[in-house]
Amino acid sequence: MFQGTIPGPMRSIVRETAQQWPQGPVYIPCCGNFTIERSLASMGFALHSSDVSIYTTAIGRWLTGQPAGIRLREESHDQLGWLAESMDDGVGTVATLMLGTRFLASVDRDGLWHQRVVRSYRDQWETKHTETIEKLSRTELQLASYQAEDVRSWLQTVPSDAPVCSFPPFYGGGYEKLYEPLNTHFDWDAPEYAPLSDDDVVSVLGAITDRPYWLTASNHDVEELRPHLRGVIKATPRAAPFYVYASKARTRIVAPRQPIEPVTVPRLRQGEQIESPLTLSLLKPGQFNALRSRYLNPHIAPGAANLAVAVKAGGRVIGVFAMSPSSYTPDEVYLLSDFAVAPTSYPRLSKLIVLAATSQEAQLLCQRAFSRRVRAVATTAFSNNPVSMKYRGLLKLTKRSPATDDAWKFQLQYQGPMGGHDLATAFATWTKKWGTPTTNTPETAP
Amino acid sequence: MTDHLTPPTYVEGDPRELTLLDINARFMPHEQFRQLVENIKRDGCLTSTPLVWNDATSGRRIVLSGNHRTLASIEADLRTIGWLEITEPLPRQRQIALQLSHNAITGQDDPAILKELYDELESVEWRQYTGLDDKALDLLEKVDVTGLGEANLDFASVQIMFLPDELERAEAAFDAARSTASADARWLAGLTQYEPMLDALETSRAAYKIGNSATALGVILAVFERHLAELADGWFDATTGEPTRGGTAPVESVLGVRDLPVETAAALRRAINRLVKDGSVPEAEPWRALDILAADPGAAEPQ
Repeated sequence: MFQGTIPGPMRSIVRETAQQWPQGPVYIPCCGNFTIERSLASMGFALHSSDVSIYTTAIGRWLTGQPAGIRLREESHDQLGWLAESMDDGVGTVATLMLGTRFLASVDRDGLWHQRVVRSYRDQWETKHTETIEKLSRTELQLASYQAEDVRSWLQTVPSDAPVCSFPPFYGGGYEKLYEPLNTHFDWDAPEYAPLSDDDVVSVLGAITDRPYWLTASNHDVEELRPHLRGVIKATPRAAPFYVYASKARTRIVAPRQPIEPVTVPRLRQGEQIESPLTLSLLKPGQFNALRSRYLNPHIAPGAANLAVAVKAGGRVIGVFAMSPSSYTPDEVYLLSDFAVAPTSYPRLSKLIVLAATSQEAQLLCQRAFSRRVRAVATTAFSNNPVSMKYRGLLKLTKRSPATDDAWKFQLQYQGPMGGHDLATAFATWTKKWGTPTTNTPETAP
Repeated sequence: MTDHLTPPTYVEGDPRELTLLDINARFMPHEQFRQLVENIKRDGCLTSTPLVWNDATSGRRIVLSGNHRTLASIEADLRTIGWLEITEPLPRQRQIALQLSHNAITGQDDPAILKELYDELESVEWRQYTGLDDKALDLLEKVDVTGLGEANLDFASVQIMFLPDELERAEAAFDAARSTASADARWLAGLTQYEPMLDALETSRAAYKIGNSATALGVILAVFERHLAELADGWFDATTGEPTRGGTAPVESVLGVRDLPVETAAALRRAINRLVKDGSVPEAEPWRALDILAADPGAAEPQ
């Protein structure tokens, strides 16, 4: 289970910042998966934690020697009676809840996959439960106290000069949904609380920051806390950044960096004639990043591709396409990116990349990569024109809407069949229809 | 002709009027380019100067070095930037040499001093401005959090490889495929079976509305189990009632099931024991009891 887990660099910042705090108690509201506590473990602090979820409370109570106070609901006994023996009000209950996060969402759900998940956990229950207990028993984490209590009331009990470190949820509802399967099947003395409103968030932040030592983080750039901004962590170009605020801390940043791996294969150059045969070569992520950085519009924030392929003609790279499996249509793939190298003498070269991306050979690569039959391809084009010249005549325009990106006027959805031609036919078709070269030769510079 | 260049002059103008290189070995990943644009916006000007060749023949001002800075200044909406301009004719060889040397002769950072200087920057903004970061410079403290997690289910990974028929190509393909992923087991199949396999998976998925390949394979195997008796086609001619080949046949292709109810199994076991005891069937080959049963179904009955 990943809830409440914070990224690695954030743990480093937490530990580094805490070195400046006075020895003694540290208070951690909304402690989630105890990542802050685990980052501070072995530093000699007396760690006091609180949260309101069943999952966190099970762990927190076990770590402080309290009975878990969590029972299998009466109405779940028929289905999940086999869990009852594992519920010992201590570490056995914690292990049951932890494993429960993996399969309880599948209980009572239709479909073979869900049945398979539940059956697998039931079949392996004894072993996995024992292994989890052994794993938990190895933890060196110690808590001075744990309280199942809402952050608003708990903070009022925290001494005003004690350090507070917390990454409270700034989005409503998410955590409730996450713990729903546990709450469906287990009963406990849950604290009553209302979701944090915007005003509550401000007041919680106030209660955290109104003290000599504190550290908090958010996915929001909180205007009021700007003077206390100590770090920004952004894992990938498309990831939401984490903003770290603290009373006193070293400044730290982590910026996205794409792995780049050189591609030494020659490219088709201006003045060179394109030659058959057309072939496809799989690209490693770093190689795809290198070619995309080199040839694609730097406005477009790169995303990760499941399958990246170089299109070669006569052994020279002429372009690249990248695919992801469609989330909605089982036999469709999404053409995430396609571009031709530049400059060349062929103004319509990008059409050849689309033809290669929809070929039988590309279809085979997609089927192999995604382990499913692939019959169709879809893509989105951002354009200032009502149609995309690149896809026109090759894919069918299925939807035109205003662009969500300010840099463009239209967002165009295209769709088409996969595997209607092989690469040799693609090359012949393109050569006949779009393969006329320009007569310009490079005038200057390499 | 001397190798000396006439010292370039400092010129100011609209970056949009400069010609960027068509072919530039240097590229900039998206995140670096965005930071460059941000820096230029923040500064309101370029803080290092591109090198431009004013080509009198074509009338174009070609950026030999500083293409990304020029592009980023346009992106940052600067109307005027400054550059160093060469006006004398430059042979193509020298253009290339200049461009590549500007990219390649850039010096190196002493990592210790780099870290020291970077660490002097107190605000988050100035750290971002540098294009460096704490993780890349290895300045973050190593934190080893103790595990608080559950055990993973036991599972076996199986790789199915589809190979061409010819032995040589199949062996090469198998060697290549084996290097692509680790697996607990590898199953080989002929390439001609690939398409039917995909179809079977797809049909299973569609029938049970499942997305997971392993679950779909489970459906295929369940259907197979229900049709075990059809495997008799592999050794039995139903018309003549005779075997079509020598050797052995799987018992489940005779009975259509892998398992029997225990009562039936016990009765069978008793009958075989009797036949072994009275010497009708050798102890080492109890299955020969079936020969007797097949020849005379009443022979195994208690007398």
